[in-house]
Amino acid sequence: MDYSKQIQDIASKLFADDKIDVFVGYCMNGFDDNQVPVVITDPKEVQALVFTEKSVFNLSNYLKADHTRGKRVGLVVKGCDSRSLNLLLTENQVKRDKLYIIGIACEGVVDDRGQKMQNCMECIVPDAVVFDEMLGTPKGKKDYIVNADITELAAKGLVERREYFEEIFDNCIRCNACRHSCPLCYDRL
Amino acid sequence: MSFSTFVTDKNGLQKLYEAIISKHETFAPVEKFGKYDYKKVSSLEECDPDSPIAMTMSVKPLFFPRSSKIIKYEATSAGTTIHETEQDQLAGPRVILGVKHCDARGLQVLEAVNKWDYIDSDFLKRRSNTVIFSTRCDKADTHCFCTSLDYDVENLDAMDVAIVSGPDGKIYIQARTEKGENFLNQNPAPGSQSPAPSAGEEMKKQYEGFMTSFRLKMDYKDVNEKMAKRFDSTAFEEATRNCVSCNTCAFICPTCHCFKISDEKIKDTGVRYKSYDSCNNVYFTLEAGGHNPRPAKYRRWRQRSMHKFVYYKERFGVNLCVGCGHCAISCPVNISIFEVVNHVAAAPTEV
Amino acid sequence: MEALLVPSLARIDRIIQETPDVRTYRMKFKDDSLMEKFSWQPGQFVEFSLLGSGECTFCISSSVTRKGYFDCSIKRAGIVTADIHSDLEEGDDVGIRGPYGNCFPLEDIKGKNLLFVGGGIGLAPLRSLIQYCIDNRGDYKDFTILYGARTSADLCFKEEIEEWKKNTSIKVVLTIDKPEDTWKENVGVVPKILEEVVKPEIANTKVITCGPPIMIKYTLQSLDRLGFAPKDVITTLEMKMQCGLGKCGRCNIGSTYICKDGPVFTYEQLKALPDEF
Repeated sequence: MDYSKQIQDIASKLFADDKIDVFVGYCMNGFDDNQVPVVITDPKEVQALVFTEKSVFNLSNYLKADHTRGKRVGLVVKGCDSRSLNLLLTENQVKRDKLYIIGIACEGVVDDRGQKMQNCMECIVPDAVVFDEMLGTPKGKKDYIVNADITELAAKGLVERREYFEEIFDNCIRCNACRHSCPLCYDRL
Repeated sequence: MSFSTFVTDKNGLQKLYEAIISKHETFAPVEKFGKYDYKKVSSLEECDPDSPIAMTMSVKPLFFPRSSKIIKYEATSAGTTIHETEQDQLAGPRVILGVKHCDARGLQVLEAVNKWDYIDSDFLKRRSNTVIFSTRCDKADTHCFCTSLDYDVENLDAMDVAIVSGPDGKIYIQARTEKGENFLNQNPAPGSQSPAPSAGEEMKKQYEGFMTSFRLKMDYKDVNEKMAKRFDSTAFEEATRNCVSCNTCAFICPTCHCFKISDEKIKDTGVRYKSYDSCNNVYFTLEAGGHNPRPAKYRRWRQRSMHKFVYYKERFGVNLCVGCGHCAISCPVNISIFEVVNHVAAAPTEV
Repeated sequence: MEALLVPSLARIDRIIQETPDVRTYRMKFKDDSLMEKFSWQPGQFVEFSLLGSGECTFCISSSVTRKGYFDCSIKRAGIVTADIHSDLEEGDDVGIRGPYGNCFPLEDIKGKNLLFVGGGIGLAPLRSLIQYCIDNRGDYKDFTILYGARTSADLCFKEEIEEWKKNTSIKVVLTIDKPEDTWKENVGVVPKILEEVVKPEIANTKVITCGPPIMIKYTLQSLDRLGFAPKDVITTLEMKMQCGLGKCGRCNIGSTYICKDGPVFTYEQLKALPDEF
């Protein structure tokens, strides 16, 4: 799964045709083989864009940031990202006609040790559900599988479930980073 | 006062740790879900004093809690009463094992702000009641850059007792402060007294290896001046464009110390809390009238990096960053304050 | 640290509705000995808390020379101030910490002509100094107060202004932004009136000003045009603060902590700060 070249071409064309002001994609982080999101405003920078199975972060999160608010944005979304983007559209947080969406028929992403993510193994919507252009061969929807951990948790009693969550949240430092890096937690408090 | 050094081996160190844990209130890194946090321990098996630096949370919350109660109060028709909360259990004599060198320096740096004008006696008392055992690193992690910042390889004074591993598997236990010396006198370290380990040629070689193991290097002396000249630089905006303002960098930072005061009320009773806050938060400086002096993300980043590398240095003579790299490790989009500062310092002064 | 953040209880004695959205809360500590010991300088502030809603920073708007009480004049602006306006009644208890911050340079202004330039709620911090100077009138030469607001209803401290007017040793100039039928005094924004009506003497004069940011901006320009040296112009900054102790980092501008090194600054000092207030 490497769409780097295609995405670079699409982005430069979009800038050249004056269809977007900002492009949100991925680039290398500059020190190892992992990637970081990048917000591009200068057409000269599109050569830095990449997309591989290491493109993990959900870019629809950037639609609530200063750089993109009110602007025409091009962005890359995988199946899962496109679903959060779809929700933002449904809830009128972004305007569809301001977006140029490159959808990916995703084959699953990997974590920084190179192992396929657990959520990707259970993914039921690998193809982008909202897009202007699709890269890769769509695989279609899969049947819904209930996660084994959730089945196990649901079978527990109230007290045990509480214990389980207390155990998990024992490590929480209350930085609220989860809220800020969630694309759907867009309310401004 | 000259401090003693003991030479022993891995086994001897283990024995010393065990003896300390059995006699004193001891905190050490405890693993959970792959991350290490400092917790109270009752045996050496529970913890790992040699926990990997990248996976270990800062020891700061043991001195400056993530959240603490200021007051409890009751407000009824009969009137209002305020109760001071018991000032915590963290203040008693204790030992912390396995503190990383950068983290220990973080506490040293924080003393300045807690000592000026109004004195944060809680912080200082917790520090003076604590004996810090710290292991000198011998290898840098991906995001480490402590050697770029006020770092002196011979200066281990932020630790009370330094554990230094030498060649041939020898381990040197060095007292670095009076408190550490007294502690080692009362809790004798196994092995024999020895001269300070820095003397040996082999030791020197080992630390040359350490110094060259850093991926990130900069000349910070230059950086302070360069940053000060680039307040209006567009480089702040360029370097922080993909920040999602999640603030986790401030919460895990060993030197960040901004906090907020908030009330929580249920019916007639309530609690007032002091808890961590971050200057990267858009609400940090938002005034009631709607005016915000730092409405844009790059302005908040500018405050954060200038405070660490320029303002704190001007005011208290030391950088408010110890180069631990935890901000970059925790950042969901891999921004390192190192790279922001480096980018700004390299930018042209004229905009 | 936490011990320094514990407030003392004070009781609201009187609430004065100054304008539709400004009220002055007159209070004293419930503990009489605390009230006796409580001393402050004009320009200092307190942390005022409505328990359950939160803590806010307000300057003390009365002078220490008026014994037995202190005032905070509060404009309804945010969440806590809205709660203060809607929930607080006479006889209620509030938490007070302070006083914090520096004060107006009392030594520097001795023997000088004083020109106060206030706008809207900005008269509150000035009022503390005005009262102080009136009570030590002999120490100062000419005494001028220029005060403006958007409408006549938005003028704070109306009763007190009437008293000042009756005092022949004080010159009071009032102005509102737009003409009103019953209004007999000046009409126009503060900087305009300053240049056209007040025409202050420059030599040996200290200007003390406070008001909304936009008024301050143009007033400073006018004062510049009139020929005042930046060191003779004194203002007090509004900045979000929380601890008041120089610890929480909120009011940090450059290497300055507004809550410790301020809130009172001369225009000369302000010019040296990064533009972040």
